[in-house]
Amino acid sequence: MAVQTFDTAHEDLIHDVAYDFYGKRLVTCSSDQRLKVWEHNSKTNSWETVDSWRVLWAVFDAHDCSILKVAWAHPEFGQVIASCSFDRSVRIWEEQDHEPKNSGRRFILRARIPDALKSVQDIEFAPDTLHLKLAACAADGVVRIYEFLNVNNLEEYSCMEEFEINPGTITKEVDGHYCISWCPSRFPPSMMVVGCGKEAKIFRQDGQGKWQAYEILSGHEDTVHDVSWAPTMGRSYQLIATASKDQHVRIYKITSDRTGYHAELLCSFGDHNVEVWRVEWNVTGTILSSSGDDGKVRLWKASYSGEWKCMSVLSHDRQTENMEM
Amino acid sequence: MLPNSRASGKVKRPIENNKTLSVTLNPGSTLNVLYYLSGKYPNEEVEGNNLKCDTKIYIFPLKKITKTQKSFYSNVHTLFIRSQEILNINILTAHENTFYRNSFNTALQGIALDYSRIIEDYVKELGKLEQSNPEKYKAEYEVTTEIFAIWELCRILFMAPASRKGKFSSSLVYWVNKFFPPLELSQEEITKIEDSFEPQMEPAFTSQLIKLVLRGDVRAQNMLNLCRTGDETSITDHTIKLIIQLMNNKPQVRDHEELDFNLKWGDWRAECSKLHDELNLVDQDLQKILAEVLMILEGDDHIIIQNSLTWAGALGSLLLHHYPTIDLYELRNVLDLCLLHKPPKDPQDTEQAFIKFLHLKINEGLLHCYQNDLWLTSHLSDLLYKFRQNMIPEQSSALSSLSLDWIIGYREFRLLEYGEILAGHPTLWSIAFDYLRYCPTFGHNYIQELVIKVPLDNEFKINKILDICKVNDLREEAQYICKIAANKYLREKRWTSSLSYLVRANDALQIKLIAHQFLNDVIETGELKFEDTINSLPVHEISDVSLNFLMQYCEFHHMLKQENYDMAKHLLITLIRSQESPRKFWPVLLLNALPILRNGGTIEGKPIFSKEDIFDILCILEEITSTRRKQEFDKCIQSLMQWHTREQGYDEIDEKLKVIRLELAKDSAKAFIAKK
Repeated sequence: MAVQTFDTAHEDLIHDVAYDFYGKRLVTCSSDQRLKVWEHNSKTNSWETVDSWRVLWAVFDAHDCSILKVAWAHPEFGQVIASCSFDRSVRIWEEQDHEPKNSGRRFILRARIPDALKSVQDIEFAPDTLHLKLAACAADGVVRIYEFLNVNNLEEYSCMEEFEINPGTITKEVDGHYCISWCPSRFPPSMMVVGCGKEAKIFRQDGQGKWQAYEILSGHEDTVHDVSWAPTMGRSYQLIATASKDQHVRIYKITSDRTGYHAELLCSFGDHNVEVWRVEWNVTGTILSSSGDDGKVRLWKASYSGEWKCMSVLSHDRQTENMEM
Repeated sequence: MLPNSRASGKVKRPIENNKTLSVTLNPGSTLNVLYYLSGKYPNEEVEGNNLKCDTKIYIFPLKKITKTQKSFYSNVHTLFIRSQEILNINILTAHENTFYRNSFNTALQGIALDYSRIIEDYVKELGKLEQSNPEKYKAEYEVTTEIFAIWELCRILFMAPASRKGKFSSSLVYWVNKFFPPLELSQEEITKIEDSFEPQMEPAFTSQLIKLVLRGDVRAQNMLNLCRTGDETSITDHTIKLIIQLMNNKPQVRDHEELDFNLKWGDWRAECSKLHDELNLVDQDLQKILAEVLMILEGDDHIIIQNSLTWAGALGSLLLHHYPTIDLYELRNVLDLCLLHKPPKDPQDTEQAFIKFLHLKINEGLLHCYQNDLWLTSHLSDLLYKFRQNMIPEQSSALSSLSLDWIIGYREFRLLEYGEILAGHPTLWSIAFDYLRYCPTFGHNYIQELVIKVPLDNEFKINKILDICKVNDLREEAQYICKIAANKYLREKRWTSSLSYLVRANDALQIKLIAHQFLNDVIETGELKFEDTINSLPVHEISDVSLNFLMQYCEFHHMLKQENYDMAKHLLITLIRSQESPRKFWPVLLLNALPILRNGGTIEGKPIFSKEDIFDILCILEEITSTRRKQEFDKCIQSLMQWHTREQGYDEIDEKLKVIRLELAKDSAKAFIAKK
């Protein structure tokens, strides 16, 4: 089938692309310090720019500043984007409908959050049942959770919680790599998985409301590049996927009983044979995508008997292999 | 602190290639995969980075639903619903009675046949399109033909009414002839045979004749006639005539009861054998051909299989010529014989599915169907489940080997997958939820998750989504969707739509904020810009207290215009005392009392406002004008002073709003004098 392509016209490497809630808009970010928002035109079946703007440290300052990750808030809170950067800040942008498209003013900066001591490596909005909250993890080994108490005024935010991923450890920025993914379940307790170096840990709030590390997703032999928590869809267990420098994609099953939560490795795939950098679940948690240095995207799916297999391989050069289920 | 400065010196990563492939899945649709080349690390962290980079985004459609498929999916959707309704009635009535079960089965058989007709129409449509545009339609046409073949086979094996054995066998023969037709001769070859003096000597003649005889095709008779010399007295012509007569007189199983048929068929075969034994032609080549024809008619297994190209062809021919009254269980033995002598070469999933179904291994057959098409697997397993559920235990059935627990789980597994794909489609999304609704274990969760993902493109679509929420008892999701719709219209400044959805979302806080914004406009401009908005809202939506306040305020001004000062007075006092009135709106309400005081007239001996009313007014006035509240009301009064002027037709006001005290005093004085 024909692949649709469009050129973002970024002037440097793209670091992240995020769909909005409906999959009708995209935001891209790059080392060229620009954010770009795109909208799908269903009549022409093409992607058109909504706006493109450069993120500056300060109006009068010309320091380079790669933007590393972007995320859309739930549409309940409006058209809001969060971006994080090598400049240690997290920024919140809100769309202004009265501004024309492609004016550079369509999305305005509502908040600049400079709390991190090192570059902010990953951000993700919490499930909407927790209201407008954003988790950010930085190379300083700290996860910070911000809450925007007044949705009509995003300038008002507070850092509700902050916790060290590896308490008592000093991490060198070059080696420290962190990534986060919220548990999308609407039922308590709130949880997230944090990839930290060669481990991935599940964090939850304890009885006093403090975030603590609990289960460790073991088996990784090298840095965890990415984590993704699957939507639950009524299952009695949770699924978490990890992408690792050790060339493996792993899927963990999290169950709970009276004694607590238990994490077990469900399967591990080394098909990429190179570093795997990204994993992401689909909307129902039934398909997992992974990609890495081999220039291939692999899609994984469980058969009716529960066995996970590769169902498709997409190449950057557009060859597709469909596997047997 | 500038972004690049650090407390300690930073070592950059030496890296040859800072690029990798990243992927993200469209949350609104499982159908698309987006990938792009991305940087592993920011430029600030690497050295030796290759700056030439591909900045394109690639979107790969995992599954594309064509226009013809869309139409097909819509058409069959009603059959799915109908079958479900029948099932629900059956469950509700819960009859163990055989009669009711049989009625239910009959209804399901009708649905299976209706499915079949729709698939057939789809195949025909694609056939025409494929002829005009093979590149575009060939693949879809082939897959759909396979779907039709599988569906028909399953209908014969598992969904057909219990009938005479012969009906089953003849249905299978028909199926083989339809979906495994023998290769036709080219026109050139046909012409050569027809024009030949001795057609039986033509290379293609014998193989084609045998093929047609094997399949019971009447064209075999035409071919035999080509071999006649024209001399009715010749043995050759007489023999050919007899063979053709035998072919025409062959007993048909549908025309007789089983016992009667067996007798007649036995006699007929005996006649074939006799003719074969007496065969004595001069032309030895022709004799050989006619002998083979007669052996086929006699039902010689060996000759039939030897002359068949495929196991399916062999099966059909054996059923036609040797096993016309075969039953489902005997069929397996015949099938094994065919597979042994004519094994499939590199069988694809469709062929594997045929073989599994014929062996009554339904679950394995369905697993092969999945590789072919999801629509087929989901709908076939759904219908098989319904038949299996209604199976009468005492009666032997092809479905006996199908585990009910397995098919229940498998059906739902595939329907969920099918529903999920539809839910992401721009026009088929609404029928997705009908499928999910009939998945008892996870269907509700899927609906909850997917219904909120449907883009709110326009009001018609929003209302359709909300209807789905209502049908599925999804109140939280409905409120969530209303909130998003309200925000969307708020940004577009479509106040009526926004407020309407906020009421449905039960978002009193947001409504209050909007109401206060409207009242701010009044403070700033003196105009009731929100009047049309409030008047456009349906009456039942004005139950919200903030909206009710706005409505009453509009009503107050309406009364003033009509000079209905007495009613206006009562309403104004209600508004003044209302908890919904923001404090900064009090000065406006007090100033609204002036026209009533001026024009309201004095009832004999009484002021216009009662002493309780005057007390409340004066308390509020005191609150507004006291120095300790100056900061709170100052901005408001300054705004009022901009437009509440003599030039605009109002009184001039000062910061103390003395004009109100003055008019209240005048009103009291008039009443006092009138009393005197």
